[in-house]
Amino acid sequence: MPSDESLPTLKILLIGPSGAGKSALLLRYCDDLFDSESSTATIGVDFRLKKLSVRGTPYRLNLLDTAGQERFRTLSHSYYRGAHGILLMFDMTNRESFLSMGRWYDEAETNALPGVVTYLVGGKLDCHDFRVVSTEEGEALAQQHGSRYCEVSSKTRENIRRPFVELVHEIVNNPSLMQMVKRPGEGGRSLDVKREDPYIFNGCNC
Amino acid sequence: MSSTSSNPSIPNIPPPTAPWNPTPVSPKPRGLRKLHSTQALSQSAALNVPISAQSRLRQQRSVSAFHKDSLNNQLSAISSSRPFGRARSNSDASTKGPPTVALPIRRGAGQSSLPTPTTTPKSLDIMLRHVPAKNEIPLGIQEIKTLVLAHGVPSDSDGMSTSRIYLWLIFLSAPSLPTDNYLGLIHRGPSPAYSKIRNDTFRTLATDPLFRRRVSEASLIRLLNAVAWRLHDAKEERNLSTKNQSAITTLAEASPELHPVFNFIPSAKHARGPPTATTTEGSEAGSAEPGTYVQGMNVLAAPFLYAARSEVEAFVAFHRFLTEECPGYVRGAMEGVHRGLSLVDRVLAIVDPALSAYLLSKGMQAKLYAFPSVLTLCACTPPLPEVLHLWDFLFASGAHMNVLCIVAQLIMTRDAILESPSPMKVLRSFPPLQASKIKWLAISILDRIPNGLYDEIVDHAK
Repeated sequence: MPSDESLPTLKILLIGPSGAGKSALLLRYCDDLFDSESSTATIGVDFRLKKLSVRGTPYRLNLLDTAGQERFRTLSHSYYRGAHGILLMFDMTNRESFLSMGRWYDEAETNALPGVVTYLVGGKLDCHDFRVVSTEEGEALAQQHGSRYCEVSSKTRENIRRPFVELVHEIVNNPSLMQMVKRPGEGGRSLDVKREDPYIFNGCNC
Repeated sequence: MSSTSSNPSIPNIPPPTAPWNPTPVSPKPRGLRKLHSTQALSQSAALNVPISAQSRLRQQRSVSAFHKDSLNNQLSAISSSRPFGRARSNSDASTKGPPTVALPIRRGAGQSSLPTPTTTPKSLDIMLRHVPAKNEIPLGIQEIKTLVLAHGVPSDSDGMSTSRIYLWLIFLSAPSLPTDNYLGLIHRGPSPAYSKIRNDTFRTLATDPLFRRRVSEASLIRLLNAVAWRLHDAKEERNLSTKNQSAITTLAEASPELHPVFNFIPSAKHARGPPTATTTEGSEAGSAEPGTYVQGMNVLAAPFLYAARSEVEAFVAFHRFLTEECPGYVRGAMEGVHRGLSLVDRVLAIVDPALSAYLLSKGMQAKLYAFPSVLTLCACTPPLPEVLHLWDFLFASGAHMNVLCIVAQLIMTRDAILESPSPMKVLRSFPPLQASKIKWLAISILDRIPNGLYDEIVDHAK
């Protein structure tokens, strides 16, 4: 069994309007936790790591969770660099959230590499009574942009792995995208810094 | 920076005309009022200083606060002992609501961790009440800063101190604001950013029981909404003035050779704006725009509300902080935050090349892990009482020092980072703040970075 470090790493960006449930999706997917009480608005960017095997091949997912507020959009260009896949997420109980997805697709297409894999996710599937976006609408939008679509609930875990599995599956089947997948050791210096040059400072008792 | 609106119902916080701003006189705590009014009197001369010189002055002041030898001696004299620690409550009497008469500031004896328990708190207290002579205001403020830098602000285990907010107000040279003016902002109702604010307030420091106990969501909403109004007004004001200016610019472009003077109009470019100029409030990216509400501001506002003894004080301090200390953090595309992030990378590369190289080899730049720490001045990292201690230091030394404080935290987690094959996991959330350690480490870093870089740090959030 190779260590996590030696696995090929895929970079996946999560974007979408504020409050869509992007951080909640990642928290459930990576840590299997859900806590609406302690949720906080993402400031700038957050990230998580997750190992995922697709057809017997393990991958290391580097998941970047971005802040949804539009103010952050202009600054997130640099986070798109080197992304293999982009998950676009909206809140199915919020019409405005769905209507903004066109702009998020624009954002993804402007900033990401050509050929990057996009995937549309409708969130808050458990809130049946408040749902205002139909499955057909979601699918139509996804199709329009050449994405796949699925609906998830971070609360009930329904479909929680599906977007990641399908997204990764599509990425690894794309040879041109896979060419830029980093493997540890490639092009990197080997560093042994464990005890090298410990930072020494004066005047502190810590 | 444009001046605020001329609408009489809107309180007018004066623009940053001088390092120590004159202020309108209004009811306020005695010590602060005295200090302010004498400050006001002493400032008439400083008002004539050109802006560029003023910013240099500011800079020098920050530097002289401890960069150079003046303070180093004092600091090294006490560096062998912990300058301040979290005071222990003798009882668990701290109940709901603001602490009332427990004034640790007068009871240094109970706080054995303070290096000079009896003298320091007293002298801070005395200095707050003491009225310096007109021409000694800057010196007086410098002395208070030195005291705070060296000893911190004594507070109880919940981080409460009766003098803290006044020290912050002085350090920020915040003007006074009549409560009615704040109420005026409240009575204007929801600002254009209101729904965004409401989307975030209920999840602000939601897991911090100290904060939850003391600050209501309603008060956070009011404060942020009032600040949003102020920023909105500043923007309106600016739009008006740019309209006028674009008329001039057009004229200048029509015949530039006839009007060489127009080539020096500073914001001529911005006045014309990007062709796809903005749609909704808060979404614009023009770097010349004053900021509006942005996620993270809620976290930044939290310590002000926690430390202040009234919402109005918190509002003045917060607004002043946003518009004077860190306007670049909330303006346009938040370029100030990005500058701060790249400075974290650069400083780390100088002071701990090995750690820096290791992180970079893992693709871990500061923009991935330090965004919240830069934008919120470390307020995103619990515990709150330590945040307040760190902010005492940051306001006394200049908020730009936060960059070094973030580097200090990286160095403090150095071993864990280097031992972890996935430093990402370690850096996802910083370990609990230890204000005192961070402070001393940040000061020691100061000596190791070149002056040019330090100047960039000083200016990065402007």
